[in-house]
Amino acid sequence: MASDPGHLAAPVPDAMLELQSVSRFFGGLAAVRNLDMAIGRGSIHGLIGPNGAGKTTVFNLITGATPLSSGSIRMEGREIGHLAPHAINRLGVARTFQNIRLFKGISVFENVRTAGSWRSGYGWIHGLVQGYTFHLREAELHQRTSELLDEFGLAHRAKEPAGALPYGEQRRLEILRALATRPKLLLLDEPAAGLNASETDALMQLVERILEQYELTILVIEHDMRMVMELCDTITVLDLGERICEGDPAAVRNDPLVIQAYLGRGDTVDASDQ
Amino acid sequence: MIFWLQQLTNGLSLGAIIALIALGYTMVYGVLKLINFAHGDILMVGAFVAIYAAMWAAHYGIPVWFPLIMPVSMAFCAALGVAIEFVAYRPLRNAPRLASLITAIGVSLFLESVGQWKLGAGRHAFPALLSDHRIEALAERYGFYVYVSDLVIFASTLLLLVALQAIVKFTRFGKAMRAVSQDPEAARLMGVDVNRVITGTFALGSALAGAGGVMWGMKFGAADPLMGMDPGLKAFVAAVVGGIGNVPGAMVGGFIMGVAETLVAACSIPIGRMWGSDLVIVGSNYRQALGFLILILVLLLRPSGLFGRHEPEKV
Amino acid sequence: MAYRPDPVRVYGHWLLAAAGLSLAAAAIGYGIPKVLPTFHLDPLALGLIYAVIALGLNIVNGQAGLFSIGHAAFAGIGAYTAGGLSTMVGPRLFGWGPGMPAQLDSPAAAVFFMASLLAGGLVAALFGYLVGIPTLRLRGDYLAIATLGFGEIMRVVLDNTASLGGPLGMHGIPRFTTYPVIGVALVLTLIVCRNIATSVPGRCFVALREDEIAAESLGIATTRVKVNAMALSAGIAGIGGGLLAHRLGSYMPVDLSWVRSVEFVLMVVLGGSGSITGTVIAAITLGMLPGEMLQLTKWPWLQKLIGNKMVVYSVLLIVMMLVRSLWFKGGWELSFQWMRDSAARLRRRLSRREGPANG
Repeated sequence: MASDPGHLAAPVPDAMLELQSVSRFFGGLAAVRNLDMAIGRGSIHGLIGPNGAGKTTVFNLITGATPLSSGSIRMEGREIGHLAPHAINRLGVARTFQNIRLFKGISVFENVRTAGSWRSGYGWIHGLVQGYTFHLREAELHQRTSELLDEFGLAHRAKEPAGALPYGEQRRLEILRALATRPKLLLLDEPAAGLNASETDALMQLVERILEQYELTILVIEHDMRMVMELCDTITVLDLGERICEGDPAAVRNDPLVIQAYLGRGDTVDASDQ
Repeated sequence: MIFWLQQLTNGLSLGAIIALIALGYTMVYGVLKLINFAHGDILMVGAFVAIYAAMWAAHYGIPVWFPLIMPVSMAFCAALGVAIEFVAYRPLRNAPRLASLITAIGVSLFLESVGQWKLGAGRHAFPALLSDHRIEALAERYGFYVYVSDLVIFASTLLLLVALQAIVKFTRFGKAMRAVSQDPEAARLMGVDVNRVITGTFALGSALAGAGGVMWGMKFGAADPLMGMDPGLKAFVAAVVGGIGNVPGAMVGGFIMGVAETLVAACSIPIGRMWGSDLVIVGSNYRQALGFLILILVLLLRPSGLFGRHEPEKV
Repeated sequence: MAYRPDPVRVYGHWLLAAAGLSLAAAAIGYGIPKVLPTFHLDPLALGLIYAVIALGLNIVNGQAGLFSIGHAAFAGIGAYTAGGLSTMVGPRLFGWGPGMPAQLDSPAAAVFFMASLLAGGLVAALFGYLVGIPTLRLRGDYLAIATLGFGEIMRVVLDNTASLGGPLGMHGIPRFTTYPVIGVALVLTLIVCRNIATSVPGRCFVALREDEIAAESLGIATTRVKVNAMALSAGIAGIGGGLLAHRLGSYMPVDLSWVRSVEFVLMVVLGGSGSITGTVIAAITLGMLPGEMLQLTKWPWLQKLIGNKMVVYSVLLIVMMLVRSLWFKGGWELSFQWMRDSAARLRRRLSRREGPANG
């Protein structure tokens, strides 16, 4: 059953994030063109497409890392298209990066604690004087950080420099670090890249768990089709910066345009290939 | 009118030398992404090599000619540049860039301080390698002074610039150099011997610095152990103005710097009266600051320089 | 149920620390001049003042990873501001003049001196702020060059400002920076740097150094953090410059040159880029070096070997970078936590050694 490519997806009743005719041009090249997308509250939304389709650019546009050329992005009804990355994070959007961007030189614990720090609840004067408020807030921050590390099995690594962690744990740590800012919307950029099958399974469990536990909405870019098909409620397929299909996994899997986009380039949607 | 034309001519002849020195900065930055702070001091060494070579030549009765002395300087500086790269920069190839920057500053301070130590801090007279004739016809009729030596300097600079451009454009080495400056890793995988290219680049750049040192010495008639700072700085600014890593850009930047400096030095701008005396900004007092002013403006307005391409950091 | 720290404990520690630090300041201010032979006092005083400036630089160079080669200029701005207040306003208020003995005759004068040091810090911080806004978009070595350029411009401007002494600089600054002044200033600087480093602002600096893009994606307002780091750093350097001016009695445009800035960079790098303890140790060592070398007249061969200060400096710089792995770690701090940890480690090792013997 093919979905209608040009057709707007059915309006999502309770959208966490809405993109309306979002475009981004680099020079004359359209990395993203007229993209409409809505992510329902509490859902896991997949963003897939062949290499160079503009997926990461979409992430950069949402998080403010790349300015919009045109269009509008609304987070819970609030326009965020013009905001700086840190302001967008403070409205509840956190992300991970395709090429892991941990603070490699500092400890795992510091990575997570730094991420939560704008929620610390004290200002620099408190930091300078280090009176009671400072110690109270620091104790809370410390506890939140430890809990997060405990819960997701990185407590034993807390004192190690983040750069020394094995790859899979670095991926996990990056997700934890994003969680430490207590986002409502979490963007995962190829979280399974470089992981083996059992690590991917663990990752999928982790994603489903944090979704429930932190009442998150998740937007995920992923090439691992098994993961995308099992995990996502809705999938948007991009090709050459444009949306060619949107729907549930079953619909996307059978969409001729999607198959053409992938197979036409010698790429494959088939899970067995991964 | 003649006055400004005269300044413009002076500026162009200064600019040519600056361009020559700027090339060394830009090429090294291109292949190594390193600001070779010691470049100006290599120039100083070049000037002193010329002084001693001239002395030696005079002693043995060899004619003290510019075309004989300059290659000696260039060769010595090329060797020095290669040695510096080997000792100080190569071990830091994979270190954070700031570590190599500090090392480069260290090498610069080292050359300067050893120079001051061994040669004394004073100024050494630079031998007249060229005739100091001026073109009388122009001087008499227009009061416009053009010296033969300036013409020779200008011509040989242009010659070197063209030669370098030819090397970069048409030789295998030039091709390898451009490849390395685009992407050292990919170049290595394509069979380019990156270390050899870097060595060659240092040799080439330092030789140009040596030539620049000889010309600078001839132009100002003196050399001292700190003489490299000023041209080094100007040449660096010129390289940034032209888009660092960009060879033609560095040439244009050099001319811009030379002309801008000469013109500004010739100005004095009254800015009003205060406490009963005229306040005048005397351009020549600020010539040292001018380079940095241009530098900061370029960095702020067009960080990639006039001819550089802007490469945003990938997320 | 969240853990709540006990207020009595918190403030108890706080008071204890305050008492200990006052003691430390007193030890520097009154103890060292009593204990140390006189001819070491001048070099050490310079070393301690350099430590203040280097601590300022450590905030941007070491913690925030913003490479500045312009801090001699910030120190110079502080020196000229504080020195100017002492030589132009001070004489009218308190009758200060050249050749003033190194003491402050009245509380009002002491307050004025402190205020002028602070003013120097504030003006330097303002410059840091103004320089920071446009230049901090630049990365790595470009920022280094821009700050170097700023410093050189300041130097040339001062060179050409006749009312501030032109190239000869400012002279007859009363020599108020005695050991007690240095002690208080250094301890206060240490407290500020340590407390910033152990709280949220300091963590933001480090995040910035580690990965700017990740930092901003985690809600850290990178531009503001950078500019704040620069202003704070410049302010501390400015206070250090004011101290230096009132120690030396004169300050010249040459003192703003980038070569001086490099000396401060060297202190921070030698100290392990980011480590407060290391910076202080390195600054004192390097700051004392020139003064102590003057004392080497007893050993002419050694003096000849060292030859000239800058040769030693530059070789040191190169060698240090080549054996970088020893220095660039920078995480270590002398702290109570460290002492507790190493005591525990020692105990464990001892008990392990005894263990088999007992069992």
